[in-house]
Amino acid sequence: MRRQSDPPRGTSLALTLLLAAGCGAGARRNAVTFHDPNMDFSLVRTVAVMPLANLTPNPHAAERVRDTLATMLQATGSLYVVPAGEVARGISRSSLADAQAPTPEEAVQFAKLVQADALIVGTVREYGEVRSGSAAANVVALSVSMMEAASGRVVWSASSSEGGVGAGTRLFGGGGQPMNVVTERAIEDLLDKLFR
Amino acid sequence: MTMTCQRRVRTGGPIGAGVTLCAALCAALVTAAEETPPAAPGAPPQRLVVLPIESLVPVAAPLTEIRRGLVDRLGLRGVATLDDGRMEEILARHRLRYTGGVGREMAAAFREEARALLVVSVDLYDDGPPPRLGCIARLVSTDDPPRVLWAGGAARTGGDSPGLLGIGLELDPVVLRDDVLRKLADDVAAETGGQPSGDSRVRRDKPLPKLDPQRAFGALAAAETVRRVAVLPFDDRGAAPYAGTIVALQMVRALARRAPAETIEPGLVREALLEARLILEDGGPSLPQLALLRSLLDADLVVAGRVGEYLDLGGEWADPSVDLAVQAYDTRTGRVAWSSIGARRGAAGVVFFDLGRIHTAHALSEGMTDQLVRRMFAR
Repeated sequence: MRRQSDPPRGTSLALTLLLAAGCGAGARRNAVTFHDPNMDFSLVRTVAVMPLANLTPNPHAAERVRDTLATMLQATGSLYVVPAGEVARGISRSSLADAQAPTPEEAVQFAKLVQADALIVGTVREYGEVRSGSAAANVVALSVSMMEAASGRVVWSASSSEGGVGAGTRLFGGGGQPMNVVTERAIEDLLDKLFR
Repeated sequence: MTMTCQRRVRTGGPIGAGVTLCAALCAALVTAAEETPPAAPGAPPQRLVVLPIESLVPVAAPLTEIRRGLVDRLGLRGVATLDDGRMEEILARHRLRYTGGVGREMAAAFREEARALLVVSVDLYDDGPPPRLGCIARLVSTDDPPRVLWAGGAARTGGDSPGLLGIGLELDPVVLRDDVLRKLADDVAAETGGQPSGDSRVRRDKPLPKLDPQRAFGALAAAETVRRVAVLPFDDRGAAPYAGTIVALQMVRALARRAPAETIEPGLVREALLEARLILEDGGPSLPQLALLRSLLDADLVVAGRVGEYLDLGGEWADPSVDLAVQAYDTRTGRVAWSSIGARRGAAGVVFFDLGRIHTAHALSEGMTDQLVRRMFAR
C-alpha cells in the first residue's frame, strides 16, 4: 500500500527540474516593470526613440539597439516612430543638455518640437560576449522608459536581459545565439511588457 | 582579346575545321568591335564610355588591368567603347575627377561622344589564396538628367566550389578576374545589343537566397505612385571601410533591377547633397532635408540606412556577415514608409557539406538588398 502511494523517483526528479526551469524563466520574465495606472496608452500614437545611454565597452551598442528598438516598435503597427534624423534635428534645435536623460520640462518641449506623444529613453547595460569557463555566449541587458509628452512623467518602465551562458551552452558548447537574435528577443520581451 | 581568342580555340575541339571556324568567328568579332557602328544624325554615337574604376577596397587592386580587361571583353562582344585617350582628355578638360557616379556635368561632357557611361566599382579584391574579386556596375545614360539604364554586378572567390579534395579550388587571380569580367561584359552586352558569350562560371539569374530582413515595417500604401527613388549613402557604424557606400550601391542595383520605379543615379544624389551642402545627421535625413531632396531630385522615396557590420575576411572558410538597418521615407508626407533590420551570416544556410554557403559579403548584401526591395514593393 505504502509503496503504491510513493511517486516514482524519476517523476520527482523531473518535477524538480521543471520547477527549477520555471523559477529561472520566471526570474527573467518577472523583471521590474512599471505601468502608470492612470495612463491611457491607446492615446500614444507617435513616439520618438531618444539616443540610448551606453554603459558597455562596445561604442556602437546603443545605436544598434536603438535601430532594432525603433524598427520593432514600428513593426507592431500600433505606433509610429519619429525618424532618427528628425530626432537628431530636434535635439540640436532644443539644445538638450543630455539627450539620453531629459528632464520632464525638456521632454515636454522636445516632444512638442518633434510632434511626438511620448519619448522612449533607455540604457544599454550589457552588450556583447560573456564567458563562463570555456563557454562563451552573447548577452544583452537594457532598460527603457516612456515619458509622456504632456507632463514629462515616466508612465512605463521596464528592463530585460537575454542570452548569456546557459546550461546547454556549458554542456554542449556552441557559443549561444547571434547578437542580433539576442537583441531582438530582449526587445520582444520589452514590447510584451509594454503592450500587456 | 588575344587570350580569349586562344581560349576559344582551345575549347573549340580537336577537329581542325572547328578550330578554323572558331578562329574566323573571333576575328570577325574583333573586327566588329574595332568598328564604331554608324550613329543616326543628331543622336549620340552608339558606344559606351567605360569610366576609370572606383576602388572600394582597402587594398591596392589592379584597377587599370580590370578596366582594360573589361574594355577588351566588351569589344569581343560587339560593344563599341570610346578610346582611352579621348576619355581622359574629356575628363581632364572638364576637370572631372570623381568617377564613381555620373552627375549632370559628366553626362553633358560625354553626350557628343557616347550613348552611355559604364560605372564600375570594385568592392571586393584579394589576391588570395584563394583570390576574390567583386564588382558592382551600372550603365548610365548621357541624357539630361542622366538615367540608370542597367545595374548589376559579379563576384567570385577561388573557393566558391572547392569540390572533392579541393580540386575545384581556383588559385589563379588572373583566371578568376577573367571569369568575373566575362560575366560583367556579357551582362552589359545583353543590355546594349551586343552578343553575350555566356561562358562565365559566375551564375546568372540565380534564385534569390532566403535573406529576408528579420523585422520589417512597411507602409508604402501605394507603391505604384512612387515614380523616383533616391538612395543616400549609408551610415557606416564601425563596419569595414566603404561598407556604407558598397551597401548603398547594392541598394541602387537592387532597386534598378526590381523596383517598379526609376532609381535616381547616385552621381546625381551626390551632386544634390554637395550643392545643398546637406550633412546628414545621425540616423538619416530630417523632415526639411527630405523636402529639400524632393525639390532637388524630384524623388518620391528616399532610402537611407546604417551598416552595423560588413565582415568580409579572406580565406577558404571565412564566414562573411552583414548587418543592415534600412529606412525609406515618403518625401510627400515626410513619414517613414519602410523600416527593416536584418543581419545575416554566410554559413547560416549551410545544412551539410558546405552546401548553401555564401562566400562573400558582396553576395550576402546583394541577396539581402534584393529581398528587401522585393518586399518593400510587394503588393
